[in-house]
Amino acid sequence: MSRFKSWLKERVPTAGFDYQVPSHANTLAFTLGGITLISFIILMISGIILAQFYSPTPENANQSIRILMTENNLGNFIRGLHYWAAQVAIVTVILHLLRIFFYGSYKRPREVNWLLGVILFLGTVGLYYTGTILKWDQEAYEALEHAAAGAKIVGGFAADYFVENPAVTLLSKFFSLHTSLLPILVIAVLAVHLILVKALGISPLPFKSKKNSGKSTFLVHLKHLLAYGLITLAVISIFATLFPPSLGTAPVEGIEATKPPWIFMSIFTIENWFGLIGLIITALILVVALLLVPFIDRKDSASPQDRKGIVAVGVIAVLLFVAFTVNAYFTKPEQHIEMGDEEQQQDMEEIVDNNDEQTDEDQIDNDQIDDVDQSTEESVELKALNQALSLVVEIDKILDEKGDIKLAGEKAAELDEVVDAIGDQIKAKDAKLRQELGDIIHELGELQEAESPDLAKASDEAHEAEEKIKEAIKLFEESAELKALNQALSLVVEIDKILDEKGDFKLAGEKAAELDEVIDAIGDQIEAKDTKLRQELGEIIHELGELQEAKNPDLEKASNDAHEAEEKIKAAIKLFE
Amino acid sequence: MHKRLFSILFALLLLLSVAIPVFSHGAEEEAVDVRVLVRQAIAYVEGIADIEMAENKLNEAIEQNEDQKLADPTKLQEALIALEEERLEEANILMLEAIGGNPSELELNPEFQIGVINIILLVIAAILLAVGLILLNKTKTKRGEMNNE
Repeated sequence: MSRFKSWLKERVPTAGFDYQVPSHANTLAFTLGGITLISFIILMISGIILAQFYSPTPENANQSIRILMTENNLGNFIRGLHYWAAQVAIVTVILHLLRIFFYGSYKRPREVNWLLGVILFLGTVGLYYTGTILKWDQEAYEALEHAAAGAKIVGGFAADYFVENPAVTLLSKFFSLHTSLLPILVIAVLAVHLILVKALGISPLPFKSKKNSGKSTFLVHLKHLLAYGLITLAVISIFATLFPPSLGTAPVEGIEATKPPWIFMSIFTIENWFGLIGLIITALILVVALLLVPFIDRKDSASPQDRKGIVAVGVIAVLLFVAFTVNAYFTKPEQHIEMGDEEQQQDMEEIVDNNDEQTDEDQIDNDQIDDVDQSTEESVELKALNQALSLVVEIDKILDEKGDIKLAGEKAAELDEVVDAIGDQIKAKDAKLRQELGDIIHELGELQEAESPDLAKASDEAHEAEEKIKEAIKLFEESAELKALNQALSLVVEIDKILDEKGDFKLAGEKAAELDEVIDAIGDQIEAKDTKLRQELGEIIHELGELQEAKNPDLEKASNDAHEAEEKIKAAIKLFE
Repeated sequence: MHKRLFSILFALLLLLSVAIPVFSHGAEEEAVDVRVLVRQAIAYVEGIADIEMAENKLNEAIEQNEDQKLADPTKLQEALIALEEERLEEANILMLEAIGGNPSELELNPEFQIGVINIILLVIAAILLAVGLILLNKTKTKRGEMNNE
């Protein structure tokens, strides 16, 4: 053993680490940063494992985590490790920052290291925030919507970042932020932070302490840190096993029905009171204030006695943080970012109605849009799109007949409003089409301010916009099939229930006749996509319909038929989705 | 007399023709998908347990479903009763089933279960904790020795 020790000592010399550090470096207060670092290591290892099971798309993200949690033996544990390590990291990084603040450890010559520390703190909060989005439940979705709305207010690069590319969703952007950009930033800054700690030495205590006034070595400090690391890992493992984190239902748009994680509860209160702009301003003030701390408090003494003013500000900030957090737990969330569907609906209808009036006044030529189905049960999206089509036809006419570029530009701005009102709905069906349509309309809108506009190009763009709008109309017309299929699904579920609970064959047969009518109405459309499915579905429904007149119907067979019909209808729905 | 009656009828006709867009506008409000409304109701229950908002959304869904027929009306009604009686878990399941969803899509709350894997994990954690505490105690003693020097 001693031979091995000397062999190892020769190859791994530790003398370089055996330099002196003050004894107080081994106290818990001076080890908080080290515990954050240990939590980071746990987060990285567990995160790499979790990433193997995660799908960063809005369609699959939530489901991929569910599969990990329910179908893998250690799924809950690994996710729990990641979750609880994140809690430890955020708590210890805050305590570490507070310790440095109250001990005045940022004072000369450690100002730059304080700034790096603030960047690390923001990086940790950023990692925590992006991590909460990845689970893609209601809370995650609302957090993302808040970020997008905030970025819109801030504008510039932030707003551009939140513009979704047809092939790259915001969720995948946040996945990339969480797993590559932010960790790289944190690791790089952390390396410099640690080098500066080594170069500048451990900061002195701001008060006299008999207990911790001696000297120690860095190797002892490392052993101390290892001990805390093991305890941290043990505690996190126990929590991950006993209290694995939950996962909410996949998100639904149009509402704000959740509260953020505890760390954001305090700013949630501010948002409740002052709206999103209040949140942005507060966050900005907090960051600027943190960055300025060493340049405001420039006295040589680190003793809290000599820094009563700044210490008092710090205490008040901490108390406000706690009070706002507690308040948020007992407050019902306000609708901060106008996610309310009713509001969106009203906005959309207002725009559509306004344009209705304008269109009537302008007396545009409606003959060109006769090919659009003007059904009586037209959806709001279809109405808006038809309105958009009228406007684009009008723009084309203005360009061709009057050559009035300015007026065409004005109409394009109206068109932009109409399409924007249903932008999300178009995007949900075809993100690429939404993007292309937005780009063309934007270019048309620029005609107003163009100095020497190209009439031919503008006319081409108007034609292109017309085609895109017609494509969008088709998307929403297609939903008629989905509507019918969903109706069929409800009917078949009802039939199944009637058979199971009442055994009423006659009633089931009557419902099957209704079902037959619904499916027949879209029979051609199903056949166009899957002939076999159409035929099989027709046959099953026909058999179910015969229950009305059957003398000795077989309940089990009828029930099986109903189940089979349900599966076929679900398959048909998938075809149209 | 006839002229007067004709004038009144004409005025009524004119009024009605002006009023038609108002009536038609009322019908346009019914545009939100029933399934979205039901999912919103579930989100209110799961998120902040706001039963009132959930009931509003569900009532709206029930109303819309009369036209859209996208959900099972019986289950929606049952879900509303469950909500009113604050049987939240049951209400969520009923709502989800009403729109053809599966209860496995609802909030997943894994709980600790006594099993081989969990016991092994806890034993490992206990060993780590013990080693950590011993090491901490050792280094503290060393630190004390150094301080006394």
